[in-house]
Amino acid sequence: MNGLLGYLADPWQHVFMQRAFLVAAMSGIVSGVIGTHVVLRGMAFIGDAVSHAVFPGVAIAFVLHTSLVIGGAVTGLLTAIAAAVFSQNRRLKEDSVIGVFFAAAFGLGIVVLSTAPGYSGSLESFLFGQILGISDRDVTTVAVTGAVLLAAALLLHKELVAVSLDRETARALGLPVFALDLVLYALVTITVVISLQAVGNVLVLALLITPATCARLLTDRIGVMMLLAPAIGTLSAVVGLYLSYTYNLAAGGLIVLVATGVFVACWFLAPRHGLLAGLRRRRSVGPAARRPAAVGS
Amino acid sequence: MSEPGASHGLLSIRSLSVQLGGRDVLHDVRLDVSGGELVGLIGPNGAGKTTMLRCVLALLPHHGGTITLDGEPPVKRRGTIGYVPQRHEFAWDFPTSVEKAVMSGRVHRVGWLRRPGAADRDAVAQALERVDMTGLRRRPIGELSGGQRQRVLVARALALDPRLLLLDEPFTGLDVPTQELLTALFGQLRQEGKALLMTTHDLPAAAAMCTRLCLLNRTVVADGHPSDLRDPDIWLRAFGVTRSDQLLHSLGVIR
Repeated sequence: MNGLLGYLADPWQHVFMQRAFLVAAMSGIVSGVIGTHVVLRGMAFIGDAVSHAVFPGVAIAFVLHTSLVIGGAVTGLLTAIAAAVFSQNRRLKEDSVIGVFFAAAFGLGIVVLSTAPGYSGSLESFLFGQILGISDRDVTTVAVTGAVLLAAALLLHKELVAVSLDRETARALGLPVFALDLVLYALVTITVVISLQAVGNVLVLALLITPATCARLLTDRIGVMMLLAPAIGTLSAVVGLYLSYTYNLAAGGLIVLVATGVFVACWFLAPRHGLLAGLRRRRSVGPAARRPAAVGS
Repeated sequence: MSEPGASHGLLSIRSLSVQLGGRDVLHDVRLDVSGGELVGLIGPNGAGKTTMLRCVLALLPHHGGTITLDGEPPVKRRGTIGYVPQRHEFAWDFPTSVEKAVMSGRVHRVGWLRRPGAADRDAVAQALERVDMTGLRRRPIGELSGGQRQRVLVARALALDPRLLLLDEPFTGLDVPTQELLTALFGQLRQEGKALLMTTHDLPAAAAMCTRLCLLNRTVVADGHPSDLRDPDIWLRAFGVTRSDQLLHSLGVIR
């Protein structure tokens, strides 16, 4: 076997690495699709809140030896619903309320987890991911849950887009805007929960936001964005895992760093919206003859 | 549904009162808009113009009086009114094309779990044609000028083929060619028997194009054909000022 092929094939002899690749890739795909909505709505902060709120649920489920996915989904959804309710009121600043709640949720999670034996080890695996310790059942859970999430995002795509484009008009047309908000928050929550194992609680937001942000720089079509973001997420996850395997470094951190590298590259090199493209346009056309700017109102 | 001439009082507002945050925003509002009319809703900032439109769209509750659309309350007529909000209400940085942005105005007609059909695509194509945006239908909405954006919003409303159009300051910040295009389009729609109600701050243009002007300041101060509203006192009362030569000059009420 030649060097490169050997390098690529080597991790696959281990079952734990096969599971890691599968879960990382699936997390990348789902996070990319759901993250596209998160980025386009400018709700990265809510994603952050949910990812913290998931923590106490996961901790409680861990202590009680029940499903981590269900535990995390319950507390994450409760927070998401609270956030959705608060944000219906146009006058209230939702970010401070959420700021209070998610810090509290995180504190609660740490307290709950401290009741379990071997506390610091399990805390570490929640915070920073445990992608090398994934069971077959975890793989199945992530696959099935991920498929449901993708189906929901596909089926509600045009309604979610209509609300993102213009909430007031969507409501005037009779769309259940509040219910659609709840569904989107639920999708974000469950995406966070299933991606926890890959990159951990602290970094899960990066998997949601970074690939979608890269994709936004590369295209002006949401459909293309929803293909590019999962591709970038999966690529980052797989490359991060290879680096982790080769150099024996933390997988979750490497996955996020690779995604960040892609982001920096896109920021400079994106064909239309990148820095270089902007400079080139300015030089070749000259400031006076530039396209009429799209004037906002 | 509507045979021309019999569509009297498509929109009918009686003794409407609205409170927002405990404050009276509108009281005793009475207004009718029929098919074939283009009514200009005029008043100072904070007069309750947008609030009134939002009540007709069932986006805000009203505390007194009635609003009827073809004899039905607004909640029942949701999704039948063409609404053109102010341009900043729309997420212009969203990665989508002109065509798809216009299609989003029909999302409830397309229905849950369905893709747009031939009827939806035809409606969108016709709406784009009417605002002269067919050539730009695949362009990302982020690359449009202010005038093009306004035309997209009008097309999105027209894609519903509505009998009543509500337009919130459609002329604000537009260049002259776009103003002329929209003015001509609104005239055509009126002749087709549609009812149009628009808020505007462009008083001379409103006086020239509207079949009726409704002067609003918390309540209806005056309502009539532009030529019937030549008494300066009415205008000063509507804008809550005692004297404004600029206002009256711009209307041609005094020379």
